[in-house]
Amino acid sequence: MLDKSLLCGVNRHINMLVFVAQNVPNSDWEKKVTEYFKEKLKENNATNWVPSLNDVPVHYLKPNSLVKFRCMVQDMFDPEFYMGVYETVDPNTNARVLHFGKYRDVAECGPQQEIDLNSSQTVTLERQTFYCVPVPGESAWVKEAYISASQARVSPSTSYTPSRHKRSYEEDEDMDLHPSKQKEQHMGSGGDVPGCVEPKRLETEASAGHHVISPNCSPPLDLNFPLPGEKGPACLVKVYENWESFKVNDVLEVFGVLSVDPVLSIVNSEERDSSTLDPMECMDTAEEQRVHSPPASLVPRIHVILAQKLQHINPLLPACLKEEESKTFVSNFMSELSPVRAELLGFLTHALLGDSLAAEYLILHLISTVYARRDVLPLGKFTVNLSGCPRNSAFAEHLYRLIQQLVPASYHLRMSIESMNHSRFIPHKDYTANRLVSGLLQLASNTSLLIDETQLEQGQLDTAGVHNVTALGNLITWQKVDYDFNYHQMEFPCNINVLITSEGRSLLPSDCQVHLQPQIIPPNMEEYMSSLLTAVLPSVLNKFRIYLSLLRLLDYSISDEVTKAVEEDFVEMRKNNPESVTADDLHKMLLVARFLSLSAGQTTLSRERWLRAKQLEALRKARLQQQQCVNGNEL
Amino acid sequence: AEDDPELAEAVVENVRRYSRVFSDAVHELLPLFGSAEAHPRDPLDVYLEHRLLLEQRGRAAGAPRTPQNQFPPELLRRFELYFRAPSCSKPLSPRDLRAGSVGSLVTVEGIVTRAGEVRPLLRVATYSCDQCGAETYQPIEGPTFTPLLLCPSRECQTNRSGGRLYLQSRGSKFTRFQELRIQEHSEQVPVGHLPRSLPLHLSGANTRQAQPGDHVRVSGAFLPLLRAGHAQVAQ
Repeated sequence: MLDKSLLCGVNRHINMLVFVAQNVPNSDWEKKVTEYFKEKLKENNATNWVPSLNDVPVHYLKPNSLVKFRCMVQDMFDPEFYMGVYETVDPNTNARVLHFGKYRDVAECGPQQEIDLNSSQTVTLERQTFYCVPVPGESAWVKEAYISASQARVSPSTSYTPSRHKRSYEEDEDMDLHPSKQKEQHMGSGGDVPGCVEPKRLETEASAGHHVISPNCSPPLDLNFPLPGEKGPACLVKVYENWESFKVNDVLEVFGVLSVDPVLSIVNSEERDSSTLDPMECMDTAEEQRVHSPPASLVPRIHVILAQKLQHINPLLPACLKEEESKTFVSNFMSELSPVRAELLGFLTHALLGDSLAAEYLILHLISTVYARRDVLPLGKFTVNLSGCPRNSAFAEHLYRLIQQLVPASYHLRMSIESMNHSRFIPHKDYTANRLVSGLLQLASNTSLLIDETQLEQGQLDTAGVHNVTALGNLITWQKVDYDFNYHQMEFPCNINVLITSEGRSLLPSDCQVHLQPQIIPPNMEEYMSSLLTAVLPSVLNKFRIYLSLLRLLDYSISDEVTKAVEEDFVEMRKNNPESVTADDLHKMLLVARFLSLSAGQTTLSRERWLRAKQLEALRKARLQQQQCVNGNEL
Repeated sequence: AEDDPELAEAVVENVRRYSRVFSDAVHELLPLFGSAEAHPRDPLDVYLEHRLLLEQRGRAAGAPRTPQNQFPPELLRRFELYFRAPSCSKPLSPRDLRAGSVGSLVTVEGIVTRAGEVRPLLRVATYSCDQCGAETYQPIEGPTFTPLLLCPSRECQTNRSGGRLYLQSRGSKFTRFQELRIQEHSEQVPVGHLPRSLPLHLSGANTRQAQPGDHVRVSGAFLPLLRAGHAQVAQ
C-alpha cells in the first residue's frame, strides 16, 4: 500500500532521498528518485491511492503532494532553464547551504537566507513545459469509473488558505474581489472558479456565481480547451526527462508534484505593472505572460516524476496490454466474445430502427482504427456515412447518446451554417500570446466524431465556413489536420472515427456509405431510444465497452495463401464485370474483411470471413443502387 | 593578414568578450588611419567635440581627471563591431541550441514571427552634478542599471558638498535596439512537435532589417538572460 505520508510530503521525501544519494559519491540521485517512485507505484493498486487532478478540485489537494493527471498534450512551450542546484547564504552567519531546484517552481530559502546568484556551485538545467488539458470529449462513464476506482482520500485542507484570501476575507465580507490584491480571473468558458477558495464554504461549483469581476481584472483567461463545455482543469506539466517522446495530441498519464504556489500568480501581475518601466525585461508581451504564467489556482503546475503515454483511456481495460496480467484478462474476454458480439449486434439493430445490415457496419466502424500509414495514405480509416436518417426526429442526437455510452471519448458536431461559419475547427498559432489556440479538431486518437448533417439548412458559407468544411474533408480523407501557423501550415496526423448522419448522401467524403432502411418507425423517438438504454444491464454495457476498445488494439494479419485466394477472387470478379469492381472496391472489401474478422475475435482472415465480407458489401451496394433508382439523380 | 585559426576559434567560443577586445583595438588604431576631420552629424557628435575641447583645455590647466569623469571609450566610439560567423559553420535551428553553445557565436535560421519597435538603448549614461558641474559617465552593459546618485568628482569629494547627479539624456549615448522572435522552419520540426522559437536582440545597424514573415539567417552570441526582481525568484 502506498505510504500516505509519501503522498503528502513528496518534497520532503525527495529531499531525504537526495540527502542520502548525495552522500554516496558519483550517484545519480535523479535516477534514483524516479526509480523509487516507479517501484512504489507498481505495487498492487498503488496508483489508485494517488489523488487525481481530473476528479478532485485543485483547492482540495495539498500543495507539493503527489498527484496524477490523465490528459492530452495541447501545446508545447519553449524549454525553460531552472536552477538545478542553487546556494543560499545566511547574511548573518555566512553559512552556505546547497539546495535542489528540481520539481519546484519557486526557489525556496529559509527566512534569514538569501539566494546567491553568482555562486559557482549553481547548476542550470533545462526542462520542458507542456500545456495539458483533460482528454476532449471524455465520456461521463469513463470519469465515473475512474472516480470510483480511486481510493485517495482528500479533504479540503482548511489550513491551506493563500494569504491573499485571508486579507481580503477579513476586509470584505461580501466576497467582492478586492481589486488591488486579487488578480483572480473569472473563467469565461470553463464555468467555475476553483481558485477562489472560501475557507468557510466548502461547496465547489455553486459558489462561482457569487464572484464579481472587479473593474481592474484583466479579461478572462481562456483555458484553451478544444471542445466547449469542458469542466476539467488545465495544467502546466513540466517534464524533466524524455520530453522528445511526447507529441502534441498524445494522451498521457503523469505522476508528479503539484505546485500551486500563490507566488506564481503575483509574478504574473507584477510583471505587467513593471513592464512599462523595463521594456527590455519584458521579452514577452503581456498576453504571453498571462498564458505562460497563469495564476496557479487556475492552472496548476505538475512537476513530473513519471509520465507514460496511454494507449487508451478505457478504465475497464488494463492500462498496459502488453503485460502478463493483462494478457490473461484479454484471453478470458476473447473466449466469450461471440455472445457479446451477438448482443451488441442486437442492441445496435434496435438502435438503428431494426436495420441489422447498418448495425453490422456500425460495429465495424466502431472498432476501426488507423493501423498504419503508407506514404500519405492512412490504412484502416473507415468513415461511415449513414444516409437515410429520418428527418425531424433528432435521431442523430439519440444515436449519439448511445454511442457516448459505448466509447470512451466522443463529440457530436451539429453541422449548421452557423456552426460552420463561427466555430473554431482548426487550431492556429497566436504569435502575440505565443501559444497554439485550440480548435474542435484537436482530438485524441480514437475519439468518435459524429457529424450530424440532418439539421443543415440552406445558406451561404463564408470563407471560414469553407475552410472548416475543407478541414473536415481532409480529416476524413487523410486523417490529418493542418494547423495554421500564419506563415505556413503544419500537418498533424490523427486517428478519428468519423460517423456522418445525413438524409441523402453526405456532402463530405466517406469511406463507406450505408443507407438506412428502418424496419420500425417508433412514434416517439425519445422514448424508444431511452428505453433501449435503460433496458440494457450495466454489466452488459460494460462488456460492450470493453469489446469496442479492446478489438481496436488487436493485431491482425493475412496469411499468404489467403492473400492469393483473395487476389484470384478479385480477378474473377473483374472478369465478370469489369466496371463494377475497382481497386478501390477491393480495398474496401479487405477493410470490411479485416474488421469483420477482428469483430469475431479472429486475428487473421479466413475464407469464410472473406466471403461474408463480400456478401455484406454486395448487400450494401445493392441498397445504394435501389436508393438511386428511387431518388433519381441524388446519388 | 595572416590566418590564425586558433584565434578564430577563441573568438567563436567567447564572442562577447572578444567583441570588446577588438573594439578597443580598433579604437586605438583608428586615429592612425584618420585623414580628414569628420563634420559632426548629430547632437552626440557635437557633444563629443565640445567634450574633447574642454578636456584639452582642462588638461592644459594641469588638473588630472578622476577615473569616473574620464570618458569611457564607448562614449567616443562612433562605430559598431560585429563578428560574422565563419562561412563553414552550419546554420542551426532554434531547437539545436544547447547549453554547450552558451557564450559562443552561433548561426540560426528561421522565420521572423514577431518584431518589436525600434527603441533607444542606453549605452553610456551621462550625469551632471548640480554642485560642481562636472560630467560623470557610466557605461551600461546589461538591460538594467542602477543610476548613480552622488557626484564622485574630486571637487565634490573634497568639499563634501554632496552634489547630486542628474541623468542627461542628451549627452548620453544610445543605440537602436529591436527585439525579434524567430521560429524554426516547419521542415525542421520533428513530427508531432510544435516549432520552437528564439528571441533575438538586435542593436544598431542590424535593426529594421526584417519583418514578420521573412526567412532569416542570424549569427550572434547565444546568451542567457537573467531576469531581475520577482521573476528571478520564480524559476
